[in-house]
Amino acid sequence: MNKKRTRLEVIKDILEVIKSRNGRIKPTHILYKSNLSYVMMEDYLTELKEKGFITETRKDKGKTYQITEKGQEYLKKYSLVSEFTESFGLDQ
Amino acid sequence: MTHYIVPAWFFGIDIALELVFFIITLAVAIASYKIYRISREKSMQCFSASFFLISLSYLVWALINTFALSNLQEFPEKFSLQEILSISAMGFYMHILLLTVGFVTLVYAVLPKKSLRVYYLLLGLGLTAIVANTDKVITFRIVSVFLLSSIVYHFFVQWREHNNKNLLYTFVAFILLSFGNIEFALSESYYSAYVIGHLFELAAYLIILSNLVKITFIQKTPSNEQKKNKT
Repeated sequence: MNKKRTRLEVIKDILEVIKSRNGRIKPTHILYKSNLSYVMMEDYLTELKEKGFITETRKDKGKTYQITEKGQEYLKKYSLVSEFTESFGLDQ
Repeated sequence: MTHYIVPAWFFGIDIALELVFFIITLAVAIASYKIYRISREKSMQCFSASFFLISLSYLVWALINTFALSNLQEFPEKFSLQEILSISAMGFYMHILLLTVGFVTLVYAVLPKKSLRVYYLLLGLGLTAIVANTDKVITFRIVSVFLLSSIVYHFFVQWREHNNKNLLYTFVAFILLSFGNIEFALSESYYSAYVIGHLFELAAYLIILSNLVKITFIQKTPSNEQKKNKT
């Protein structure tokens, strides 16, 4: 059985999906790749925008997302963040 | 207000230990702030703030003990006994305030749902109990044990859920901190309680420090990372 993903893992997965298709990814693609419900994905995208990890661009064909430098830094240091958060019981 | 009964041979050693607690908790505060800067997680921000307040409380405690010790030795050259007692009491109140706010912030950091109303209630109830009671040291220690027990429960649940070794160490560290506070509450009853309280806290903070060192400085080899990803 697969282990339930933590919040930080979900954030990492979304950022990785956006990074892999930088500047061209649409919400439906993120939804498909990140394995989340639509409502949950919207919540996460809003949070990531607020944190400055991603930016949203609105065009005629709809919304697209780009990863920012902060988002890149999060991906680079994910294992440290994850280890620290888990060790001090803040991973909820 | 009641103070601790301190064995004479322990004067000075307690100050050194309090400075050690200050340095360790400050290191945790700085490390967690760096993690907050990357993750922007609210709980990490609260965790960092709580350890910063706890570290300040130990610094204040060490400073007032140093002040009292140095002035009582030189007495009555600089200050009158009454002045020394008043300044020490004020410093001690500051220590109590900072440590209580620090523990409340830590409880708030580990809460799954954050609400400022909850923080306000926890802080208000904790501080009111201490301020309203004549025996502030014992009340402060009871409130601390109460807050720490909630943190211990949180770490127990987290450890059972994630089965992480570091989390187990953190859980043990907070049990030791709780025992330390129980000993401090009893320090009016018997001499060695103040010493034992410091030793429990030393053990707790050394465990937290070892956790911090393991996470921050021990580099993972790529093979270890791969193993972890496979499981």
